[in-house]
Amino acid sequence: MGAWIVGGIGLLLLLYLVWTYNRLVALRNRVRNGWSQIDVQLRRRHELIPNLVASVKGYMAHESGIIDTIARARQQAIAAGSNVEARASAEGALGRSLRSFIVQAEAIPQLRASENMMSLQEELSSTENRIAYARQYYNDSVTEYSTAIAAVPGNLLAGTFAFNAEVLFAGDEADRQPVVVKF
Amino acid sequence: MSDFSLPSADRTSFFDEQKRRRRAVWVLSGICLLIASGIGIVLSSLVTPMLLLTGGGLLHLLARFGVFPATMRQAAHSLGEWAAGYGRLFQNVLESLDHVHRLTDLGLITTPLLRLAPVSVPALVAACLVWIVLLRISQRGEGGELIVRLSGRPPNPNDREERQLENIIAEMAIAAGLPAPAVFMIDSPEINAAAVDGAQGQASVMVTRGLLDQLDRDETSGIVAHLVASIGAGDIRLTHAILAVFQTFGFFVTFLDLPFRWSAWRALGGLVLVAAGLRETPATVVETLDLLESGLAAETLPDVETLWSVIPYRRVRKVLLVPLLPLLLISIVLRVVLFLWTALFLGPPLAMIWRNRRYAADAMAVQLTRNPDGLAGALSRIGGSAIPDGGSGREYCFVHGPPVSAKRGIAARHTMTGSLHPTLPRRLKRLQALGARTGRGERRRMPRLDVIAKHPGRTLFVGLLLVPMVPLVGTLVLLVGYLTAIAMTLGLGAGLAVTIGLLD
Repeated sequence: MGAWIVGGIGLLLLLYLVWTYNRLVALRNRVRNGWSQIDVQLRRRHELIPNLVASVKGYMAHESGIIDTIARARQQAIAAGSNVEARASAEGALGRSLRSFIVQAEAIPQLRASENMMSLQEELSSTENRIAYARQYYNDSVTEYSTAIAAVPGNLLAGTFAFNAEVLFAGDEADRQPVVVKF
Repeated sequence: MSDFSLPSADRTSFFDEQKRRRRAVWVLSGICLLIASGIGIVLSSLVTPMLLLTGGGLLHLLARFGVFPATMRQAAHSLGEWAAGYGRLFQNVLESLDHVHRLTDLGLITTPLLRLAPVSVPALVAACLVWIVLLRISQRGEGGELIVRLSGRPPNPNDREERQLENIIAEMAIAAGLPAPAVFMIDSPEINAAAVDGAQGQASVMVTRGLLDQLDRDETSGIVAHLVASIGAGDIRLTHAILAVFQTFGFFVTFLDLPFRWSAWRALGGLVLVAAGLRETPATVVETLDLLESGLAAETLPDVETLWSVIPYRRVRKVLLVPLLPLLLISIVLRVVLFLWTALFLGPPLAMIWRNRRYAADAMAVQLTRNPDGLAGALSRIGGSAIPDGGSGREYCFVHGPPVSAKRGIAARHTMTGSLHPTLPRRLKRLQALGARTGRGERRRMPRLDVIAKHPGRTLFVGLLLVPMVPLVGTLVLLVGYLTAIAMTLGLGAGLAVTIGLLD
């Protein structure tokens, strides 16, 4: 009788450990999937840039400085590859230069009215949203995963089976600056 | 600066709100499961004899055609013996009922009743099988049919608003970590949107043109987030599961109706064709399932004459019909009992489950957009909008339904609940608790219990008002219970007698 009880408790414990392990695997895969989603959306932004430049080139030739900046930021972001921190800062710089580019483009009356520019702007802002949502999903997943591998009993399994910590996709440094409103 | 006022006292986070709603749904689902199995046991009193008769008949038929005649006859005979055993137990219950004179004597019949209980097992197993088959069938049809009925079309990528909608749906799918659902536009001025399952099990989102014209990007995002959250939470599968329960009840009632109702033949014939994969367009699937479901509410009596007019002579007709009259009576009583159970006991908790799922999807939408004002603004603008033409009967798919649902659908037909959707003021109030600043608050029509409880005089007054309710509700429950007992006794007694007579 006693052996049965001990055996039963042992079996339950084993099942619980298996369940925890599987949960950790699922969470880690969600983090990886989240990262690849960010990657897909960032690439989408990269591919949008040549289109954007082509459609405004005629109007903005004299301001080619900003276009060069965008091209350089894009090169750096592509070079950063899948290093989360380097990628985050390079993409941040790209996003910043894109925003100032849009502000400049909107100042040109012919551009502001053009249908092409308006749809490009929608695509660009949707891409920015997608990046933000992908980042939100990624960061939520990382938070849940980090909690799971740090808390009991996940921390016991995480040490043994090498569930390593993942890094949050940090916000852009410039985004954290207070907004200055000029009149 | 009312916009920046402190959050109200019942401020909560979207995670807590979702957890709360999920817990409520678990409890309610347990209650519904109990009630549904109760209804199953009531039905089993007639379904078990029916199954035994059908099974025995098939075995005898096989024996007649020379397929292991001895074994088949033996099997049919043992079915009859099984029935005879429970027939004796049923006699025991009736005999011990004679000794019951007071309420306290009811303990006397529990033991015989418990011994009789396994008689419901074949029917419950059959009901589970039918439920699974119907569920698999319904997953092949319903959403696609609704898209066709509302003449949904794919969005036009050259229209800026519709292109924006596609973008919003992609954004929300990314935020939820789900594959993007398919999009269909409905050319209707109403402001509404729905989530359904389309072809090949891919989830689809339908949005009216009126919604795009009248809501801004943030508000549309809120609505789309609600739909995506609902898809992610598996609401579509849940509706199929719930509807399949009603269709299972309908299936057995329709089966009992075969001798009396022409449409019963059509419904079951259609079901066989659809189940065999011979007529498998979404429209026929939905039509068949609707026919089954309407079996619950069908009126049998007027149909008897039409069906039996196939037999030429009036006198022959009468002679043939007389032995079936008890069955007709039992099936009518059973249908009344079934209606009362679903309307009084099963309907309200089901509607509560659905309302809780709506609140949960609202909270999830806030989690996805991190912008409670978007959804709150959209809901307060939806206001008096209705379901687009052709959507009646599928109100539960939509973001917002009219306060009292139309003639068809699970709400109106099987339950006494007003609506499957929470009222807009209540939803806005929950969104305000999640941080929304826009939208009108709750307009109270019901007295608040917590306020009343603080005042002893008022408590006493309300208590006095409620006193006459107790005997009324008690009488109602007693009547339904009595009717149920009569139906079960009639069904089981007659059914077992016929089975034993034919098989044993």
